[in-house]
Amino acid sequence: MADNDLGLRYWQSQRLTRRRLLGGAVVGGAAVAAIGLVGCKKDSPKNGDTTPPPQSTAKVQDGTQDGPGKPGGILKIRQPQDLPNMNPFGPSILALAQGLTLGFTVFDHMWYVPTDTGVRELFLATKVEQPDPLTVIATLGEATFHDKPPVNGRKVTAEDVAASYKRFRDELPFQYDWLHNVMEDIVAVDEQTVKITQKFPWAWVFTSSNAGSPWTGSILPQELLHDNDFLNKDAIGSGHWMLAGHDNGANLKLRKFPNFRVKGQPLLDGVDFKSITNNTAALAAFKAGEIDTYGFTSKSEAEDTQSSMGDRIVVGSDLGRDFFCFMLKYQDPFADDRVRRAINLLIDRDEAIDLLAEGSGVKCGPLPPAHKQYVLPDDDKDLQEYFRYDVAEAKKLLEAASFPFDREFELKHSVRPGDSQLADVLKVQLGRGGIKIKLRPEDLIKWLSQSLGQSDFEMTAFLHLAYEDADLPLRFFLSADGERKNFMQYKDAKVDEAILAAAQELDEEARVKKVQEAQRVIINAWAPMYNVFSEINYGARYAYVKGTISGRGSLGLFNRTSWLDK
Amino acid sequence: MATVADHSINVRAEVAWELPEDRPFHRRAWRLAKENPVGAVALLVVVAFVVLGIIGPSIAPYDPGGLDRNARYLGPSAEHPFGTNQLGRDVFSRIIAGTRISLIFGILILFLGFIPGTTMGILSGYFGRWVDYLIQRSSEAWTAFPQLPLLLTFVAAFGPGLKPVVAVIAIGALFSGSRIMRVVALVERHKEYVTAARSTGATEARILLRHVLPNIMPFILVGVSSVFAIAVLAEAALSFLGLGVAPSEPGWGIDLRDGLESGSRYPHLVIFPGMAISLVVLAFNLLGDTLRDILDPRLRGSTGARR
Amino acid sequence: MRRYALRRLSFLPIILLAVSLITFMVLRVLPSQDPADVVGGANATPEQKQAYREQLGLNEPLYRQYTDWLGHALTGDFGKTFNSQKSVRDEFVRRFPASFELVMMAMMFSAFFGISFGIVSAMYRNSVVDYAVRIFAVFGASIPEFFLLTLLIIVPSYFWSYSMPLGGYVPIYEDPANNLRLFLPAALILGIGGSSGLMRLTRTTMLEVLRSDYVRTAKSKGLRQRTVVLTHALRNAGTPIMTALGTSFILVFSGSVIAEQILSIQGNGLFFFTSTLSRDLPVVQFLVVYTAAVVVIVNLLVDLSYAVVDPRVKYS
Repeated sequence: MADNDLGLRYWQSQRLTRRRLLGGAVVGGAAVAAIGLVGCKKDSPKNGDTTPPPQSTAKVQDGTQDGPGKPGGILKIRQPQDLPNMNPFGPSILALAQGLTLGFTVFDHMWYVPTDTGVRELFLATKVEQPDPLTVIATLGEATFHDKPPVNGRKVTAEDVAASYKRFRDELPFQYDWLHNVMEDIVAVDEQTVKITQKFPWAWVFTSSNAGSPWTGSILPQELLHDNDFLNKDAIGSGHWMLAGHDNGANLKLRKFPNFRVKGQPLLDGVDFKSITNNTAALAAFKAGEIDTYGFTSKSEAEDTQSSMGDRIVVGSDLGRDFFCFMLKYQDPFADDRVRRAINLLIDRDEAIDLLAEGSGVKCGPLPPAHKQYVLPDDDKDLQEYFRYDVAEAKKLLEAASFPFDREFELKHSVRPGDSQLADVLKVQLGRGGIKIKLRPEDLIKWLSQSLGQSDFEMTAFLHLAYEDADLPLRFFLSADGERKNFMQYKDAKVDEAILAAAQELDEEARVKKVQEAQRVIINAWAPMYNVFSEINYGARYAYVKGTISGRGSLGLFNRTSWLDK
Repeated sequence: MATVADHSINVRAEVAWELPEDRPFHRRAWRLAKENPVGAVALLVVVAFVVLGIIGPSIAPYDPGGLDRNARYLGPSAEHPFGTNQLGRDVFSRIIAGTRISLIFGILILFLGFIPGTTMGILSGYFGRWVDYLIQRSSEAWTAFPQLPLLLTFVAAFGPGLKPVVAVIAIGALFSGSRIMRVVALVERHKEYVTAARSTGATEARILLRHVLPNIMPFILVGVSSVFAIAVLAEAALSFLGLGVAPSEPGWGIDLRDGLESGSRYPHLVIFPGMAISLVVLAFNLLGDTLRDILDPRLRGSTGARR
Repeated sequence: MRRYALRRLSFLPIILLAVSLITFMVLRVLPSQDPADVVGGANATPEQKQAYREQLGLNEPLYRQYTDWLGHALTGDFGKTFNSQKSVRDEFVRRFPASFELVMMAMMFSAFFGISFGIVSAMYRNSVVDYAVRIFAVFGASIPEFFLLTLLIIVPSYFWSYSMPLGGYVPIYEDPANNLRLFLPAALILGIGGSSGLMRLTRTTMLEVLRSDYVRTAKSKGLRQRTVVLTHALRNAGTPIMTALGTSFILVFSGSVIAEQILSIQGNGLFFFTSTLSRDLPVVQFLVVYTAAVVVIVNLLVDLSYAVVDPRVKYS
């Protein structure tokens, strides 16, 4: 599935998370609170001062207190890249950008799991039952498609849902995802009922990366599913926005769908995207009021802009789901536990955060800290051990393991600035323990498809893209997922067992425990993927943009309760 | 008894420099330097560049590859004359260390491109006929094409890295070297001393090596300085574009590129690498111009050099 | 003269054919990266990659791939880009106005600075003006364009909080102010970069010409300096100047790729660059042939211009 697939995310753009694609984090109270829950207080730097948590720079406005909201107005957002076309099916994986843009805006979905609450919300489906672990029965509510030819506003039926899911499954042959590996079949029992059968019990069936994905859970009218001529140029769905026009994939225009299944939503009349590829130009456009929101590239940019624009804007932050990581190939000398443990001890995560994110980041365990419900608590002993930094002990471990200090290891990385700098920092940090490293930069495509994709590396470091649920970051530790071995070619039966146990635990509370247990197992096995930190992302909106619900990435932006107070 | 050796000594008088033979070398050099101050300064810079390129990384005050989280983005100061960058690295140290990769690139182009090209050109101009024709046509075909799109094509085929970049620039240097030397060799071919040497029975090879070569050496030197100017510029440009000449080594092009990101707030990250590149390229260009002026006043360029 | 021009033009298709064939061979026979990897990413299985290759038409024998491409190319269809599956020709046309404007403006500056400064420098030889111009020329050749372009963005931003309108292209007839805000400084820098050779050459040729007997005769006849220069001297110096203009154009054309990259101008230079890095072979193939065509045509125009500039040159 697009979200999960490293390949296309990297391929498409440097920072193609939905948030960035759709113009930046729009924040309000909930996001800041979310950060508090995760416990993002940084550890004190060596001199003992405690730096205040990042929300001190943010002016916070709680979206839900903005009042009932008045209808009307057009929101202007930045579009960082032209869409190749409007077709969510392709060609094949290249449809990521359209999928993310049009999903949850033009296309509706059965349900959605907001990444901040983790609680499933029902959208098109009004009732969901699981009579047994393998079956899901969903009842659809009343909804119609957009009133555009050739669909002309007809009702959405279960057949549309089933056909859409199947088309995504057939068109997008991903390696590991729910549509291919878990879903057995999906049928329309009658006009209003959909039945999904699975091959085995699956805990994450409703999460964002699986059936609830912004891309592959989209519902399209069945008569259009194979009409590429139409799909390339236009899009018809049942979502709250209609695609009103675009300029060859640039400058998209969305307009309110009057017959949306939720009356009174959306409040806005529409959204206009302004195509601005260059970041500097985008900031200038934001300052000039040509766009209403903006995602900052760094904390200092956020602070500068806040001080120059004062009360006119609201700056907020939220913790990104992406994380920097460092991978070792599971081979000599890294097959030795002590070596792996030593290498983790040499990674000074605080220093990395200071150097790479201006101090604006949160240390990352096997699961990125943004997955609040599942991540290990700060005071967890194993997690603290994972984060420990101790050069002396690392050296002792390496010596005890007869580490070949005279050998020079190759650290491959892509030439993207973030990856290059991460590699640079890691080289110096590991050098403190006596490990000699030579950096090998490669262009992105080669790195991704050959070095990483075919496990052709000794060491590699990169920015791991954001996954909207907790399952996927852990899957990287599975020895084999479907046909594919993990990139590190790492195999540990206990790790496998723990991860799969979590994936099949249907009870929420129990699952949280199992996911945490899986993280502990991973830590204690010193599995050869070390996560360094997740960056805190800053964004701004003009003060007149209200009613947004934050912490949901782009979905917050398209929250149907957004309105303009002007 | 007259021997070929005697003839050689007389032949030397035709050396293009035409400076009086009886003055000692260092006096001649000093006079040249005084009369061509610009060229002299340029030479100093070039020498400094080469020296730094060899010993630079060892004498840099700070580790150009180190990290210092407390010294990020500092402006120029007494401790850090050129400031520091995002990772706390001293820019001055990086500039010094960066000379190495520029120097290496220049040497690579010189030995893989210019020198073979010079040889090719001399042979082509001296012997002529089909060799000449072939080389000329290929040279025209290659140099007519804009270099950057050509480079991009190579990169599209081979992927970014040192090899395609060196290949393209070296081939360019090859052809340009051959073009220059061909003309020179052509001219020399018809000079009297060549006929004279031939008449004493010297082989073509001997004529080339012992007589023609010393006479055209000055032209070669001019070409060398041009090649270095181009090489330093090309290395910086391509590193800047991210075509990965040697991205893990400190380099001016890479520093410039990294500096661009935060340059609006910290212009020193852009200005110093840029000035380093400009200074060195300028020095090579001026040196080449001065040499050319000394050789032939008709071609006087920008320096108004005097012989 | 017309026959000469036509004869030269008739070589164009042959040259383009040769270029396209060589490029095709180079790009397809030496893949550093399988385009299927681009589409497939890290997680594609070998079977999936095969399917992509099928889809992109890469499984056909090479000669068939080439003849397919050629056949379509002759009808004006240059295939679809790998990345977005849009028509290569349409993408090219879309980006053409920006590139064209940049190169044309830069050429105007280049020609203007190169020729006029060269003339002035020659006419006032060894004066302050002469030295100033020569210094300007050598600096222009030494200071990298990408440095100046970078400064162009950074300096106004740092000192005056002024940001260049990067990345947005509005045609000049729609919004001249915004268009020129970006293109004028960019073209200026590019133009100067391409002009120093021209300056030097103009100066040298003018010097020679001015010293010639012909010109001295004209001066002794009492003709004004300026007339002498413009009519007599220029005509003689015209030929090498035209050649140098051609070279200048090539330099500017190359430089525009860098300029477009730095300033996020969505032109064909940037298109070439990004397509190269993403191994979008149909695009690279087309743009190489296009560049070759431009070079050949420019060379032809330069040659034809000799006849215009110097009436002694006749083509039969």
